[in-house]
Amino acid sequence: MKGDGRASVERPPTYEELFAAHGRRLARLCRLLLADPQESQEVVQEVFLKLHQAYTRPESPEDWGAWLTRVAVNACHDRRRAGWWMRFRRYGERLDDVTLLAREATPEQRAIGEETWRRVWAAFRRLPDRQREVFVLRQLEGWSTRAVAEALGLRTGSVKSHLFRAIRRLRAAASEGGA
Amino acid sequence: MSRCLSDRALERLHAGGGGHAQLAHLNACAACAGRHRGLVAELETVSYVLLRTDEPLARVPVLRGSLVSIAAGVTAFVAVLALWSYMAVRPPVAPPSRPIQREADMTDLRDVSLTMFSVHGPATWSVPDALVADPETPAVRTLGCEWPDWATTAGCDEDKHLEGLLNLFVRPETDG
Repeated sequence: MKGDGRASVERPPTYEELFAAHGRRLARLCRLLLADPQESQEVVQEVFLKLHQAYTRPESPEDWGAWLTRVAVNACHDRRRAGWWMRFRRYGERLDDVTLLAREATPEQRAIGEETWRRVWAAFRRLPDRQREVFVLRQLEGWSTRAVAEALGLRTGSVKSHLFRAIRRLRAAASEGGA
Repeated sequence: MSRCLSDRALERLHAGGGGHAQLAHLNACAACAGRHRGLVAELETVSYVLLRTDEPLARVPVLRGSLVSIAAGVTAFVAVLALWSYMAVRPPVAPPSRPIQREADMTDLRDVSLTMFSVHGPATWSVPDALVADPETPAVRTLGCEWPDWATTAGCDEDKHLEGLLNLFVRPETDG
């Protein structure tokens, strides 16, 4: 009941309701886990295709939000394992889509400070995949340690250890700017 | 104050680790509780950045572009180096050995012929090359053998064959 509690009280949510409730959240999640906008969009489409297939089956998960998150995390994991060759092949296509960074900083970025903003993102991207996944699910998505462990196939001790290391690195990046 | 938690211990506690004693200290110590609040605030900033701001994109393609260029350059250099080393250390091309081998065969044939058929010792003549090279010469054909090779080895008609062979090795008349 974590993700779609409002809609699932009386009847199961429709596909459209699930898309509306989780589409943006999953897009952001995949964007965080993959760092590549195009690739993350593809993964989100893949996830909702799987949702469509799963939706028609008689046995459906109780918590569609958690199910979608788990499928998205696994899909991102598979994408990363697909390796550098796929990314290398797409390299030429992607240059056209690049947003030039001469743009103005948003008010949020100005409030934080541009240096902090850059440092946090850089530190986040430098995290090992597992630490990034654990941090996103535990800290940003607010999952419990046990739920993260089940979703990623880890022991709870490993989840805590990954989270500790991720916190340490990100905090160092954030506090460096404020000092 | 010496028993206060380190930053590392605070971070570990926040991640769900740490011991009961550390947790008890955190609950009891105002200073550590304040530092923990600071940690939480920093993590909120991090979360805010990751959830609410766009990721800086421009540096990634530039880095990728340079990496691709470097990879292409290194590959080309290695290919040229490999080609150059191959050309430099390659042994000189040996001349075709076929004529030499043929000449050696002819010498062996002469020795065998002399040993087998010479009456007067080693002669200064030689077997006509054409006979060895082409068994279809008229001299061989006159032997009447079914197989031309027999003209130089064993014959179909032994007497006739031997005679023919001896005719082959008649010392040529030289002028003067």
